[in-house]
Amino acid sequence: MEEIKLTGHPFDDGLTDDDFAPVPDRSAIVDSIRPSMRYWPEVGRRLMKNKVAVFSILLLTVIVLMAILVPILSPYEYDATSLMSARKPPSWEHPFGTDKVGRDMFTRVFMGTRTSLIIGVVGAFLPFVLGMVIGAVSGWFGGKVDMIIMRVVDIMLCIPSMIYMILILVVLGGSPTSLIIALALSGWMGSARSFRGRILQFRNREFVLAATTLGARPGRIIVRHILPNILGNMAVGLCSAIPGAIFAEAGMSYIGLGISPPMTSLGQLSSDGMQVFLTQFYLFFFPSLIICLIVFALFLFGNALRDALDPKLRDEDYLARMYRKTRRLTIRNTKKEAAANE
Amino acid sequence: MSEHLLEVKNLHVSFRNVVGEVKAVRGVDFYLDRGETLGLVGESGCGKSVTVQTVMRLNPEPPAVIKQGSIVYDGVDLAKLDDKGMRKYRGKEFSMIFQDAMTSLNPTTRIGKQMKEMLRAHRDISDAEAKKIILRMLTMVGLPNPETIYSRFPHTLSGGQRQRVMIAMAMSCEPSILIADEPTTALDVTIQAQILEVMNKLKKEMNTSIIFITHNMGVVARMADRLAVMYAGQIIESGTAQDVFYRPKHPYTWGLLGSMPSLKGDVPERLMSIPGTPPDLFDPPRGCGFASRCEHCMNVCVNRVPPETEVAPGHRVRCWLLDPRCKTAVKPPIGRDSELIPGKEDA
Amino acid sequence: MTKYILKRLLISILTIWAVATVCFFLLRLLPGNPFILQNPLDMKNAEKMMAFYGLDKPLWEQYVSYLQSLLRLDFGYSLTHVGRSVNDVIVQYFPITAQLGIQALLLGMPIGMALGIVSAVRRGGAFDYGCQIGSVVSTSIPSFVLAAVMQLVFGVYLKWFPVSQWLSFRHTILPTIILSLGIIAGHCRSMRTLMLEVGRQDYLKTAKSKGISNVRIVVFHQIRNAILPMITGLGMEIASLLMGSYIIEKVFSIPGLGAYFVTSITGLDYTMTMGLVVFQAAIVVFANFVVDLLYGLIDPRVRIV
Repeated sequence: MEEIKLTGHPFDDGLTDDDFAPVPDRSAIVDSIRPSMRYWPEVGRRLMKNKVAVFSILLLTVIVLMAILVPILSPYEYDATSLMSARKPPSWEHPFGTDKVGRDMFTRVFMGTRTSLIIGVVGAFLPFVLGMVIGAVSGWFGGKVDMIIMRVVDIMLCIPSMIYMILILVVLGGSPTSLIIALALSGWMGSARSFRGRILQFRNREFVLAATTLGARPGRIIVRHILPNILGNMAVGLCSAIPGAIFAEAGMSYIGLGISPPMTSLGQLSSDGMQVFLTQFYLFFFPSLIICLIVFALFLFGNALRDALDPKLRDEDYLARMYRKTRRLTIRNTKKEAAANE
Repeated sequence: MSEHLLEVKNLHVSFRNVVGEVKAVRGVDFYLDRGETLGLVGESGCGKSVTVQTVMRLNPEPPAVIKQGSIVYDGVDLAKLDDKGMRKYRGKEFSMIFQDAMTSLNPTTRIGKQMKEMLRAHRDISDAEAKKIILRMLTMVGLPNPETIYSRFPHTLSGGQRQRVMIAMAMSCEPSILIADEPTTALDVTIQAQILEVMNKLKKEMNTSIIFITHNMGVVARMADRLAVMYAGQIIESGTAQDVFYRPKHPYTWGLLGSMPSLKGDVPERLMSIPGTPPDLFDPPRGCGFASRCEHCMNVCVNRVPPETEVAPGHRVRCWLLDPRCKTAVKPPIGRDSELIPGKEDA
Repeated sequence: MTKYILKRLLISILTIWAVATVCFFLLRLLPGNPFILQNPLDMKNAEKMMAFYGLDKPLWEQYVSYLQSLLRLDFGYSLTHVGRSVNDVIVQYFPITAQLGIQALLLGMPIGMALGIVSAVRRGGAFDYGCQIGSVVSTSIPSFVLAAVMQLVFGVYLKWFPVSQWLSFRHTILPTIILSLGIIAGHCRSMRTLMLEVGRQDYLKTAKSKGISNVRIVVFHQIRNAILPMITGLGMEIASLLMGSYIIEKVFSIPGLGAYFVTSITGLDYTMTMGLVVFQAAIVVFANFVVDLLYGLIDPRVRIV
């Protein structure tokens, strides 16, 4: 006992014998742990905290509401012509002006928004799902099935998607449905490829093997075990696929194969507006602006969603900036010190 | 001022993030003398790697912040240097071997070029001279045909070969301190032994000191002269390897040693395990970090950090059980000299 | 190595054959008759023309003879542009489309990659945010809208560049810039991601532990490893750019291949469509082939084939 030397322990620390009694209930000692949070509510919370995300959601909501409510808000029919009021510039009566047959552009733009949004959302979602199913089959079953499917994908990717689109539109005519079908048939290959990659990535992970050992069917494993892991990424991918579909529709309209009148779409309005670009700028400006706003909002939302799903990325951005700032400051300080020493 | 080669005092390192900070290292003291090997043990996440990477200042700062403390090497406090000043020390005075040899070599650059880059950054030598040194180093670490290895890409080598290359690279500037961060964890057991041998051989030839991090008590027993056991960002027991292995005083060390299988009979027949998990250092416990997992936990342990007690020269332990006022007699379940912790009347 | 190249070559040829086959039967599924489409009243003439082009024979016979002419690299005669062979059209107009695409790629790729590298190095800073916003904004505008606005600003008001046509280098500047904007945005984003990905790798920590300068770490270790994966995507990119952008071509009235694609399908010009599709497929396959070989040469990890 004598050889024990106590360092830094002055005995005037106010501890009593009671302090040295064993803890009555050991299970009562709980280290504080970070509150564990459920994944999706947490993602939603982060999203709502992000100003850019809120802005893009608001913008999208306003545009969607306008597209839905335009028949109520506007006194005009989208296809009602009136030669009396043809080629009017924007005014209180016609906020976006009128076209050469006197149709109210405000009504037409938002009817067109309706069409474009439907084509965008369904036309992005459908090939996505189609590709997902094909990719899942390919990735899960592997072997010959996989080889055949992937060869088909390779071959189909060699043919420009424009060809499929034009072919289908020529056969089926210019309606939203045929555009969506065209998009689905020409766009599934990319999503099949990436989904197959995902399946392969997870196929041999322990939790999947465990589920397989327990006798779960492939469909169940994919839906219940693999899908939740990639849902976030898929949502981000979908956000950037919608603009692609909207652009494809606009491009088709531009080469004259889009929605046939009197039905309208943003692409059609915008490319028609281009013809009278110099004299009636507003006919071109408003539909183009709405396309840009929709796509812009979707890209922003996609980025924000990615950040919300993986907040580390954004934190790292912030910290990287702090890192450079600190380094700059230290360099400046050391220089100052050196100068002072001299 | 100090006779030690490297002296770390009261080091506090935190990782800032947007929400708050993780106090990864909370007041660590240790020293290293020339030519000795210090083993740093503890389970993953206890702050071992952060501590040594702070010595080399490899953690990007921020997020890492040195809150307090000093790292004195050769009379210079490394904690106060900036990145540029640190560069003279990295590679030349300190060098590091990482856990995963598979990923710690640049996959697109030839071995020779990667090694040369470091030599030429610190020494004013010609290309040919550098190559000569590199070939000699590669031979020293036991690689059979250094000429071919020199011009090969990392992916053509096995894990063991790559770790040898890493050692050769780390030692090529003849550093005074080699930091090995779990260098054998990713390797096969047979290769582990060879790598340890190479490290010991080079250490003797070059009179280098080694800081050896591991969570494998068996490995550390072969390597270390002195040991420091870390838990929840603090060193809870340190001393010579004999002290810590044969006369462990901290309940966590008992658990750590008890969980190691042994061929000798000095370990209980059933392997011990420590229930629970280490505390989250985002909000570290007020008292002893091990309190919630310790079966001898007392009221005081929950509320106050135990002071450091020197139970024998150089053998320091942070545990309230060693306080003279503590009446509980605890028989260490492990260790050669299974003596009672002194100061217990009712033992 | 030779074995690998031969194998790849065989697969390439098979792919082109498959594309030709699929396309051949797909086109014949289209309702209508090209000659009736041209001249709806003259049924007699249409029948004569069908016989002249051999379109009255059984489908199998047509298919076999088409494949035979494909082997001779002969795409046949256009059905709508009387007296012109598809080969002629490709030889005349493909260089224009290709020039536009290559110029855009040469302009866009280095700029995009440089921006991506700088954004990654100065991560989280004003430059990085600027690049991110710029890439979102520039990809939010449909290309024909952007083209129209640029024509108006630089062509009509500032008169820096001609508004349309394809006569001199000055004519190529505006369409090249517009086409390259998308490339810049894409390359900037993927380069940034790759740089950050490489930045997390262990070997970068090793590099730092060597005590070498930060510039050296970034240039020799980070950029080098980040550029490699970019190459794999290059094949598709080159291929799609070589075929240009129909829309840009139309906005600037550039006499490229794009217009022929559209008119040949709507006009049921079987031979022209087939020829263009097979030609495009060949370019895609060839570009992928070359890029794969190149990648094998550059990345030491896949060098041993």
